[in-house]
Amino acid sequence: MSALRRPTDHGIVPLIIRERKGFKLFPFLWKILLYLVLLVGAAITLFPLFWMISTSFKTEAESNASRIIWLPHQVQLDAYKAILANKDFLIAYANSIFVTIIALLGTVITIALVAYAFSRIEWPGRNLVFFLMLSTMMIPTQSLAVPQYMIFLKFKWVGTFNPIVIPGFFAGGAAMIFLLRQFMAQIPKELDEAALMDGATHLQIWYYVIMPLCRPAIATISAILFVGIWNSLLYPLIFLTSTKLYTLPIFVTTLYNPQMPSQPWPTIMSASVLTALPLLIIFFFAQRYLIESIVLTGSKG
Amino acid sequence: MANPYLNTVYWAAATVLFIIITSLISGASARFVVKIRGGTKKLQERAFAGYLFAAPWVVGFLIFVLIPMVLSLYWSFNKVEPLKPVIWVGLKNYLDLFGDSDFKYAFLNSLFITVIGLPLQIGAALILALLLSQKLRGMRLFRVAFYMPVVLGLNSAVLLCWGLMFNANNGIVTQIIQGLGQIFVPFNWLDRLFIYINELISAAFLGFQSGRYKILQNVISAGFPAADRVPLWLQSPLWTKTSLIILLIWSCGTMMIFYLAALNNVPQEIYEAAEVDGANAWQRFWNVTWPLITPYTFYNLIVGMIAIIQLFNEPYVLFYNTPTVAQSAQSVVYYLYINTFRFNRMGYGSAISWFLLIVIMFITLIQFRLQNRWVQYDLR
Amino acid sequence: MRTKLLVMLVLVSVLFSACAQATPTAAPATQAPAPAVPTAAPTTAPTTAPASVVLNVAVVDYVKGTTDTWLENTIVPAFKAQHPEVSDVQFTWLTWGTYNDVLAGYFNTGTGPDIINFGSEYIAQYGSQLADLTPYLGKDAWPDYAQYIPSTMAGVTTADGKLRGLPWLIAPRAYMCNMTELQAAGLTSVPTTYADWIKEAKSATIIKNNALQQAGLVVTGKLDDWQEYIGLIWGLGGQLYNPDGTSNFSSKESQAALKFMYDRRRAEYPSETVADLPQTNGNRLSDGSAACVLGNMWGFPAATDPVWNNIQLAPYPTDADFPNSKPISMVFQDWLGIPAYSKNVALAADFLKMLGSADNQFTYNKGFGSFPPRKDAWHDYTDTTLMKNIGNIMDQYGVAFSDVRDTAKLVTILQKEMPAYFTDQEDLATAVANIDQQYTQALKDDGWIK
Repeated sequence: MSALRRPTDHGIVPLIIRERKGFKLFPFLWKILLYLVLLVGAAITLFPLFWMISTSFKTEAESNASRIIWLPHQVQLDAYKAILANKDFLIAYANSIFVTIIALLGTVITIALVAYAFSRIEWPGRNLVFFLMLSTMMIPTQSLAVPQYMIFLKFKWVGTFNPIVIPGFFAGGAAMIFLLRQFMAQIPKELDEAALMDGATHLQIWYYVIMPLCRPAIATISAILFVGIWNSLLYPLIFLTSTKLYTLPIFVTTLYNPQMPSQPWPTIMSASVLTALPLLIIFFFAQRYLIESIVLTGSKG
Repeated sequence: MANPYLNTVYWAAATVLFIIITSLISGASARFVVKIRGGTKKLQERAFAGYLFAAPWVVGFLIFVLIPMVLSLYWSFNKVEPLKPVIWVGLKNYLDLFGDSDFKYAFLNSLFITVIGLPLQIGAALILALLLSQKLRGMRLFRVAFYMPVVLGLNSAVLLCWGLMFNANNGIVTQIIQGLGQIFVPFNWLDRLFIYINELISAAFLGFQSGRYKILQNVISAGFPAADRVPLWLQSPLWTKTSLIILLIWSCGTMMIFYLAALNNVPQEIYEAAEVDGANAWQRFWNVTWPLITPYTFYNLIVGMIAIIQLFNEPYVLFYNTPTVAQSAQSVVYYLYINTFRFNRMGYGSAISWFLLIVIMFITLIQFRLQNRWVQYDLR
Repeated sequence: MRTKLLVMLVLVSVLFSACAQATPTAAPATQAPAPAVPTAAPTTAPTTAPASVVLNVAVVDYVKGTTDTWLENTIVPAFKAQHPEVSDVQFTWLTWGTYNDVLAGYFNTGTGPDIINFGSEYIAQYGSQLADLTPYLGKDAWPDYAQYIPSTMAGVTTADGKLRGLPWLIAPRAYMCNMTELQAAGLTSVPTTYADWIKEAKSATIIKNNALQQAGLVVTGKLDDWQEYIGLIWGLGGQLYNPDGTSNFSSKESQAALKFMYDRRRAEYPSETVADLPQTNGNRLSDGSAACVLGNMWGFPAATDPVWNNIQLAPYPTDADFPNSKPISMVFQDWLGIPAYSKNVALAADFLKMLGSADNQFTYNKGFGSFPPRKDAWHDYTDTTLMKNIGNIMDQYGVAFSDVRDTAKLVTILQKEMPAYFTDQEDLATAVANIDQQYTQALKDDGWIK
C-alpha cells in the first residue's frame, strides 16, 4: 500500500526546476511566478463560490446589472429573509437532511459489517464474492434506474423517500466497501485472534475492537457518501414525484422560472448558499480525509 | 399521503429487520452446507460468521442489481409502459436505438466532450499537480482550494451560479473578458483567437453530427471574430459543449490529487541521475516523470471517459430552461432520462441502459487490462 | 478531534430534521365518503366525518404574491368553512419547465394531487385519465354551466362527450408593440404580414458590442417558440394532421411558416453569434429592451398602467401567397381537471365549483391578467382600452390552442428540429421531414393512429 502515504507527509520531489548552486535569483523569481500562477488559478477556481455569496447579498437590479458589481453596494438580507420565509424551501431542507442522515447511517453501518467480513474472517467463497463485488463497480448506477423505477413502482415506493434511502442499507457502494476493507486489512490479525480466544463473538470484535480503530476510514467514507447523497439529482428527480418531497438540488432549480421576465437571482443564490453550506462545513472538517481517499481508491486493483 | 418521514422510518426499520433475518438465514445455511460437506467445527463457525456479515451486500446485490438487470434485459425486448401490460417486440428497441438520430447525436456529444475536453481536463490536473508538488509553503492550502469544486461542483445550487455567470450578454464572465480586453489589447486578441478556434471546431463537429456543413461555412465566411465578440456560453450550440468542458476543467481536483500521489511515488534518485547527465527541466519531465506516471494518466483517462458518458447534473441544470439549445449538450444519460421518464418508454430505456452498461464495461475492462500491465512495475 | 466534531454535526442535524419533521406533517388522507348521487349543492357533503381530508391541488398558472396568496388565504378558508371534513387544502406550485416530467410522475404512480392545472392543449394527452365531471359540473348538474362560453366548457374541456375539467382562464396571445420604439425605427403601425415583420425585426433591432441592446421582437426563447410556429401554421390556413391522422408538418403552409421564422431570426440576429438580450429587471415592453413582444398579459404591468397607452396590439401575421391565410390570435384556455386516481373526486369537484363561481373567476383572472371563461364574470374587464382591445382581438381572431396531440413528444421534437434548422444544422426540407417522420412515429407508438 505504497499509495497510502500522504503526499504532504513526505518531502515532495521537485519535478521540473531544481535549485542550481551559485545562482540565487532564479529560484526566487521562479517562486514568485509559481505563487502568482497558483493564486490566479485559485481565484478562478473559487470565483463561483464568491459570486454566489456576493450575489445573494445584492439587490435584484445589482444582480442583473450591465456593469460589474463585485460587492453589493449595501449588504441586503432581503433575499435570505425571502428564502427562509419560503415554506417549500424549509421543507426541502428538512427533506435533504432527513434523506442524507438516514441513508448515511444505514449505508455506513452495513458497509462496515461487510468490509469486516471481507477483511477479518476467512470463509469459503470469500474471494469469489469479493470479486463479484468489485465487478459491480463497473455497473453504472444510471443503467439500473429504469428497471429499479419499474420495481419500485410495483412496491408503490415511487413518490416516497424509500427508493433514495433504502437501497443504501444493503451496503450500497462497492468502492466504499473496498476502501474500508483495505483499511481493516491493515489492522494486525492478532487483535481479534486474542479476542476470539477470550470467547468474544465476531459482532463484539467488530464493535469493540475493529470499529474504534477504523474511525478515520469511517469518517472518510461518511464524508464521501454525504457529499454524494447531498448532491444527487437524477435519482431524486426520478423517484420524488411530489414537490413536497423535493430535496434541495431539485428545489433550487425550481426557483428559476423561465416564464417570468426577470429572475430573482439574489433569492436563488441565497438558496444556493444555504444549500452549499453543509458541503462547505463537511469539506472544512474532512477535506484531508476526502483527498486521501482519492489516493486510496485510485490505487485499487 | 401519510407522513413521508415516518413512512420511510418504518420502512427503514423493516429493512433492518429484514437484513438481520436474511443474514441469519444465510449464515445458518452456509454453516449447514459446510457441515454436510464435512467441514470442521471451526470452518463451520467461520462460514457462519462470514456469510452473516457479508449478507447485507449479497442480498442487496440480488434485489437491487441482479434482479433489475435481468428484468431490464427482458424488458429491452418489450414495449413497456408503467401500469400497462408488457408487449413483446423482439429486437425492435435495439434496432430503433441504432437508427435513432437523437441517440447518435447524444452519443456524439459525449464523444466530442471526451476527445476535446478530457485531454484538457487531464492536462490541467497534471499542470496543477506539478506546480503543487513543489516544496514550498502554503501548497496545502492551494491543494484544498483546487479540490473544492469536486465537492461543490455537482450540486445544482452551484451549477445555477454558473448559469448566472455564463449569461452571454451581461454575465460576469463576459464582462471580465471584455474588461480585460479593453485594458490589455493582447488579451483581446487571445479572446478572439479562442472564439475563432472554438467556433471552427464546434461548427465542424456540428456539421459532422448533422451531415450539413452550412454552419461551418457561416463561421468561415464570418472571418476572424470582431473585437467586440464575446463567447456565447449557454446560448449557442457552438458553445454549449465548451461550457461543459470548462466545468470539467474547473472540477479536475480528483485527477490532480491522484497525480500528486503519483508524483510522490517517483523516486528522487532518478532525478539526480538525470541531472548528473545534464538533462534540463523539460527533458527531466518528458523522459523521467511522464513515463512513470503514464499508468495514472491511463487511469484518469478511463475514469474521465466514464464520467463524461454519465454527465447529467451539469447539462440538466444549465439547460433545462432552454430546451432549444439543450439538444446540443445532451449526454447519453440525459437522453436516457428524457426518453424514459418523460415519455414512459421503459422498454426503450432498458435497451439504452444495456447499451450504456456494455459500453462502460468495455471501457472498464480495458482499464483493468492496462492496470495489470503497470501494477507489475509499480515502484515500491 | 475532527471525528468528534463530525459526530456532533451529525447529531445537531438529526435534531434539526427531527424538529422539522413536525412542520410538513399532513394528516393521513382517509377516503372521503363520497355521496352516492352527487348534487349541485355543496352543503350535501357529509358533515359527520372528522376533519381529516386533505385536498391537494397542483397549480401552474399563478402569479407569485397575487393569485397564490389569494387561493391560500381566501379560497381555502371559505372552502373549509363549507366542508368541515376538510382539514386542509394544500397547493403545489409547478413551473412549465418541468411540467411534463412532473405530470408523468403523477399519473404513473397514481399518487398525485386531486386537482391538476392543465395547459390548453393537454386534454388530448390526459383526458382519458381524468375523472368524468359530467355528474358534477355538467349541463344538468350545475346551473352555472350555461354561463360558460361554449368554446371553453363544451369545447376545450370536453372530450368524447365527457366533461373532463373546469375552464380556468382565457389568455389570448397577441403581438404587442411599443409605439415609441416602432416610430424610432421608422414604422407607423404594428406589422401584420410576414414581409412587414421581417422588415420590423431588422429595423427595430439595435445591436451593440455584438449583443442585442433592443430586440425588434421578443418571443419565449430566441424567436424559436414552438407554440408560435403552430399559430403561424394555422394563420396560413394549414393543418397539423393529415386526414389519416399522420403528421402534416411538411405542408406548404408549415414550410412557409418555418421559413418565415428563419428569415425573421436572421433579420433580428444577423448572425448566430450575436448575444441575446440580458434578463430584464422589469418588463420588456417598458424598459426599452424590446420594440415588440409576443405574449399574454402574464408578467406585465396591470391593465390600468399608463404604459399601455403607448402600446398597440396585432394578431398573428398573414401572407399574401396563401389565399386561405387569415389573421388569428392563439387563445390559451387553461383548465383544472381531477385525475381518475383521486380518492376525493366529489370533494375536488366541489372545490372546482367554488373556483368556478362568477366572483372567483373574476378575481383570479384579474390577478393573473387573463379573461374569465364565463361571460358573466367579464364585468369591469372592458373598462380599460387594453382589455377592450385584447377582447376584440380574441373575438375577431381567436383560435383555441387545443387539438395538439401527444403534446410532450411533439414539443420535444419541435424544440430539437426548429433550432437545428435555425442554426443551419439542417435545411428546411430535412427539418420538416424529420418532424413528420418522428411525430408520425410517436403518434403511432402512443396509439393516436391505429
